[in-house]
Amino acid sequence: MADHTEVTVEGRKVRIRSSESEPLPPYAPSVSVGHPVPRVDAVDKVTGRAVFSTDVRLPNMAHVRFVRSTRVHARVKSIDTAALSSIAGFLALVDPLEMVGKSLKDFLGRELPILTDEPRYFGEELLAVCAETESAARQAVRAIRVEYEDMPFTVDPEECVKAGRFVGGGWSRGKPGRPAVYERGDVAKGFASSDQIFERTYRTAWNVHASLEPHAAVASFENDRWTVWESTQGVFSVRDDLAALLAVPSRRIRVIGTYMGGGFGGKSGAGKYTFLAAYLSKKLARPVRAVQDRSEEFFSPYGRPPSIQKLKVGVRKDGRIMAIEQMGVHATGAYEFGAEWGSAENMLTEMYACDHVRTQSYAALTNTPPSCAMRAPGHAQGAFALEQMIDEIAHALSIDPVEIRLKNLPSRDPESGKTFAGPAGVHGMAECLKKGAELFAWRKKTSETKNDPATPVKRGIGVAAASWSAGGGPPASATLRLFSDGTAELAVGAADIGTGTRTVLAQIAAEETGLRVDDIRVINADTDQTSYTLPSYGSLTLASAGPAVRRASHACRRQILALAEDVLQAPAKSLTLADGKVTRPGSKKKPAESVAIAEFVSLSPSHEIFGRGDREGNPDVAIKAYAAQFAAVSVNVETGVVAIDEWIAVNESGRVVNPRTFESQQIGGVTMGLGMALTEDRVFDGGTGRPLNPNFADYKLPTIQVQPSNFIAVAVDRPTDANVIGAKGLGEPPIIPTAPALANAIHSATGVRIDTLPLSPKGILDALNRAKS
Amino acid sequence: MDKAPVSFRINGKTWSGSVHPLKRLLDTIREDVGLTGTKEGCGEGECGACTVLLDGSPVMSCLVPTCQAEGKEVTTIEGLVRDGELHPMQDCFIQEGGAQCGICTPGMIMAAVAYANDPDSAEDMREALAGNLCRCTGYTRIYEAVRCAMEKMGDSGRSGKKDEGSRKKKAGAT
Repeated sequence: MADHTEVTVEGRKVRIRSSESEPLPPYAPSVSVGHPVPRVDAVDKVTGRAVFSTDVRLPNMAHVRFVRSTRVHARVKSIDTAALSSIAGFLALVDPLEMVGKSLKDFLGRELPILTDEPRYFGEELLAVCAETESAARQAVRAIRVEYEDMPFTVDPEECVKAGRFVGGGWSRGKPGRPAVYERGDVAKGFASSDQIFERTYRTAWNVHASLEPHAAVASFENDRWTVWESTQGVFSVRDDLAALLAVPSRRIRVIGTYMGGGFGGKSGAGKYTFLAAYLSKKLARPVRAVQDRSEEFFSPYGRPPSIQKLKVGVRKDGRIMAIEQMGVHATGAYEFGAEWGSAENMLTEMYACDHVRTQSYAALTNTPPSCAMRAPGHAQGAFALEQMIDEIAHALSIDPVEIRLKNLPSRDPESGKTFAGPAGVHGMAECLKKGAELFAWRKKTSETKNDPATPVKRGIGVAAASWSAGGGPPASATLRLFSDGTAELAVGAADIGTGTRTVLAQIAAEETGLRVDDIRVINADTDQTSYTLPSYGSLTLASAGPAVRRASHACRRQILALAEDVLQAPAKSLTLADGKVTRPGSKKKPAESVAIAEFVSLSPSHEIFGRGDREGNPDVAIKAYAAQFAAVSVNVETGVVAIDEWIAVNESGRVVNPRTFESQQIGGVTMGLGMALTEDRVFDGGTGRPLNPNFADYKLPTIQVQPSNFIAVAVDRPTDANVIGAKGLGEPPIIPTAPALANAIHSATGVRIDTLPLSPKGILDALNRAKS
Repeated sequence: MDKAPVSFRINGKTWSGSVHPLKRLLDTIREDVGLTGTKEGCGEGECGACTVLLDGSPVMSCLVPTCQAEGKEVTTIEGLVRDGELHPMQDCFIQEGGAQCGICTPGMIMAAVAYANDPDSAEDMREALAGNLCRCTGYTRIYEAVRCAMEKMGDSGRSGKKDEGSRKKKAGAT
């Protein structure tokens, strides 16, 4: 572990020693961890008993809705609210003047106003109305007349860049009109030493998270405190955002997010609706509910921005990558807000060993909704370019696409120069590629996939890979309380966004303490009842909260064992904890003996056994998760329709705590990737600037009919030594290689490269026609 | 228009109240009857989260005006549990891991129950569930859960084989 961190306190740089973590025994789980335990909350979910934020109904609850801009870029000239007084149930109107200085902030502090009278994109929030019922609130919205003075706009990111309206994308706040540049080595030198140079421009489409539960909050103000139910990935970030917006201390806000209907990066903090609900609940002294419509999910600051990536790669004849140069443009919206999320660079800088890399990131200030983190932000876009380019190079040099990837694997993290987390001697991406190739029968299919020129249905195969930083880390903590009846309460701040966090954390606690999973109640995502943790994003939840849970549980284990040594008259190391009991093995002299854990809790001085665990710091290494995917497709060259015949997804994310939830994450990620690859495309009309398909009828999510008929998801179950449970993250990696694997398979089938997402029948036919002419 | 009296049976019990006849059945169920197991995902009949059974047939309750339920039998997710016993479809969703975040689950289960009760109502299970979106699972575990339940519910030979067959047919077709 790094022995210190350098921080600035009141303008002074200081070195803080890293806190010492108790060394834990090596992890060799067997009882619960590693088993496909059913989800601990499954009964609540299948019976309709699980209460989501959208289900919270409080007495006397009022409803808030937004008046949204019907113009793309305009100045509000006048607002006529005269008709409001005649609407039964109308309660309050909030205008931008009342919200001066109130804004959402992105990771780099860039602001997005809560309300505005100078909208910069269609659907931007101008006013908020509150009414007795939802339908009265809708009526009130319709009754307000807004007059605008239109201003020039563009929704085209490339046009914006040409006009100089952009900022640097990525993780540092550059100067306006300057791209963010990453550089290592000297690309000119790299290209000079290349035998062949490949260039192509790739385009990825605009996506939206499309969580089936929309953004939603219910706020109640009582006894000088707010209670907010929010559909969120991070209750603590919502609390902190609200504390800042309301200018009140954190102790006056409780945020509850126990059940939430999907996030995918789009629910990481408070929304405008959250603040309005909280603000109005105090102002009106009654609970307020704010739930977005499906169409509003397309106008709000959520979604994956589109990208245009110009990529140039130099290689030697033997397939070694010598230089990578990329220029990426993405649409970030007119506020700069969220400009960090569209950059595809990291994929290019971290995937392969290459000494000479230069990337430029342009975040175009388009008149479109601000961009947001969406599952594997940047990487999913970057992979579509890089992983197709690698395929193109492999074919041009007659090298197997799997081999060329293995040949270019980095031995150290190319960005930081750090070694990779252990165990040493194996590379997760190599394992994914090899395992997948074997399961898919890659070599056999490569030699056997041939197409009869007479038939319109062409078969093809493709592969793509990914890496993603997935080590997790502090801050995360957990507490475990054992009761004298042998049951327990595990409290963790992390949200379970559908991944199975509650379940896998209960498994870790069960493994360590010997309790049964069924006897552990998990309390999560409630700022009053759990300790601080980061939101469930960035594939960090399990690798952050898991070790904290093991530590909390280990603290309980030690207390149980101390009592058990006396009761069972045996040294702790000879005792086993499982199935709610502590067992001393039998010997020649004495038969085996078991005592219930409940008994030890009763004997403990406080009649409860309590443990707290804090996530230890990470070692000073690069911790990556890896993925490889193999696709077999049939493409009808007369219709452009793609059928997926076979899909194999392999992931190396360290230890597999629950094979069932692991596999579900893989399949779910690939399916979202198939949506990105095949159909998902938010269209903004260039002429009017309006979103043309803000609904599920025209923005097509994958249905059960898209699911590949032969779909295998497997894990490389290889615990990392980077933390005390050996697990890494799995949220993002499965979506990253999907679109390029499919594009590569389409190329293998048809001989044409589709450089633009989505890979629609029209796109495929157009490419085929271009290739012909 | 004003509110009007309406009466229907929901999960085996008669419910009578006064609502606007065109109020969405979804809202009547959630707000007036007070059962929030039925979810709203899109409000425009595209996602299936609000699926309930109306006289045994699956409907998207966001598209059904309450007056159309007059005198009929509505079954929601809350109505599947009988005498404290979970419906086989619920059991199988637990066992097979068919629920992830859980928001689409009630509607998905109701659509699946309707199909399991009448496998002839659709070409195959994929068609029966094509109107129910799930953003988490990628559908594989849902598919397996429904197959498991159909086997448990009997009629397994016919419907099970039918879906296996259609799966193969799909794999070969392009």
